[in-house]
Amino acid sequence: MACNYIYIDDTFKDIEKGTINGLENGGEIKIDFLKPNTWEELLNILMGKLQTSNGLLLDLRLGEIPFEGEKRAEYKGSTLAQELRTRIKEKKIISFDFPIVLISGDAYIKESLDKTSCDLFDAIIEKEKLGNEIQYSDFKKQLISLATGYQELNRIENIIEKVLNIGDTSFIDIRVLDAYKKIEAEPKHIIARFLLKDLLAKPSFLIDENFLSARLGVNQKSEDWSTLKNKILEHTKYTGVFSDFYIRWWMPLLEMWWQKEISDKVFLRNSSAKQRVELLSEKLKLKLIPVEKTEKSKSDCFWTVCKATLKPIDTIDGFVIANQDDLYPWQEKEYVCVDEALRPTKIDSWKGVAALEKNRLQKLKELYSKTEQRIKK
Amino acid sequence: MVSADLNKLAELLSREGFCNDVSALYSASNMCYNIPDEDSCSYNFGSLLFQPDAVGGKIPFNAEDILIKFSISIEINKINSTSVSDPLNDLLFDLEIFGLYYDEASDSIKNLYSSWHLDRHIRIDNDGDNKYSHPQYHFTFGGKKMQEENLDYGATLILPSPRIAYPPMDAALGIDFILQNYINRNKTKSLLTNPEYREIINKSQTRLWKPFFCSLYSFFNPENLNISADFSPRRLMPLYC
Repeated sequence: MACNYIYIDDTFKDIEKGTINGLENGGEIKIDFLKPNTWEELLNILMGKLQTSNGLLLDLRLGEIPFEGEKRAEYKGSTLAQELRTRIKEKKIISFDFPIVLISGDAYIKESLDKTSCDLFDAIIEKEKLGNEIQYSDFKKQLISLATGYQELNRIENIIEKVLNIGDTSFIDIRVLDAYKKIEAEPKHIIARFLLKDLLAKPSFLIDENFLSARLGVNQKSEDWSTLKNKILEHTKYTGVFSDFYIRWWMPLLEMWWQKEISDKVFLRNSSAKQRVELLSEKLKLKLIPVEKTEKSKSDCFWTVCKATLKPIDTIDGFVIANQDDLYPWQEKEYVCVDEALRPTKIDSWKGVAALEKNRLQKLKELYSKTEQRIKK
Repeated sequence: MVSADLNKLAELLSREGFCNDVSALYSASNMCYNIPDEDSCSYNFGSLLFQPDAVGGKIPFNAEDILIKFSISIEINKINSTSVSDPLNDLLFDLEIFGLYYDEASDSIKNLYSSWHLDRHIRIDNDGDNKYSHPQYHFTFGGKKMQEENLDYGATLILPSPRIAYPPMDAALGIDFILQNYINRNKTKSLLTNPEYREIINKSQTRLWKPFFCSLYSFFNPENLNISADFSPRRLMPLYC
């Protein structure tokens, strides 16, 4: 059955039509397009339509173009999202929770949204990037996952074991359990936000495939990579809410498996990719090849992944990215590799290095410029 | 508690700007959460990075981008109140130093590497056959890590280095060692005099160093000290005669 989303926007031009076509293509998602209305009328319409919908897509500026004659919406998408979230919390009219996704122009997002407003949305998508940097196939998967994730959250109690689908929480960072306790009685969208923003969006004890490859030192092009990640490590995979879109592995379970099945003498963190792969290949009888270092890397004790190139690096060969001072203790800092820091290829994805790293980067640039000067001569 | 100390250390190092990424300490803190001070506990982390200050006398003189990587895996024994015994059951402690330099002859940037290893010697039956002095806890320059790196060490002659008797160290004492040896005192002054920091270090010294130095002292004054046979002064300092 198709997943139904209501889409509210004051404009209905090529870009919006393209968005609807892109999302409806394939038949997995059905879009019900709505223009804004007076505040009361729009809320009335929504209360009815939401009963049979899975979620809401919202534009930020809803009052740019009149919805009827000279009448313009005098509220923003974020105001509407706030009202809906409040009604859910007060259990007024709507008895179930649903995802709200913002689709808006980049300039408007930067200009009008503060952090609190950002927290109202399960995802924020820049209109201009759809179909380019963000493929419709990925966006559709994300919307379907949000819809099914919310359905699951609506169905189950807010108990962490049920939300994360695990029998035992003893291996989870105690601070996560503490933080979760504080929101346990909150509405489902607060639980969803905790999962999406605090646990799944950044590397933590839940790691994605690139991190898994880095930590095992195994090249993803290895013949038996799929067998390793999906079959042998199946018990370490995250199977909780939103796991259909966020493919993750539990790092503590991976480390326990390594110590029990591979080696209790060699630690993943301190060993080279070559050493890890030798042990894995020998114990599991798999055809695996180690990840190679990036051009300017010194170490192959890979642990993190370059935010720009997605290549595995040891933290010694990386620079901490700026603006990461308010992370939770269980979230890991993100890095770019030396190669990317010296010659940025995707600066949009990381902006700059942390203040404490700037001096180091400057000196490294000076060092490498010596070889480049020779080439110029 | 060890866990709370590690957590506090992470906050202090981050606040004072000595480490960009203290997630290793947070993760180690979680490994021994809720274990009382007197009980046994274990933790490990693989990479806590420090940027040492420029020092004179480094070789090669043009070494740049020097970073110190601290890794540890430790099992601390339950506190023994009846005798002086080994505070640790297991220890892997490495300080790896990475650097780069511009090599004019080849017009390329080359890697530099050295390492210090604090070893807890595991005794086996035929230990008497050790060819050289082997204190129970000793610092060694080089070690396996340096052999593995397989770099070009130029004209430097590196022999298996003497095992220098040194007291055991945990994460807090290891961090203190780095700060006191590689970072300019003007920068560390504020942290080293911070009462919270001093308390953490003091607790670690009491836990790990008190039995070590009590045992060493007992060689000259054995009365009133009940020294465990496997933590005897001669084991800690084989050069005692």
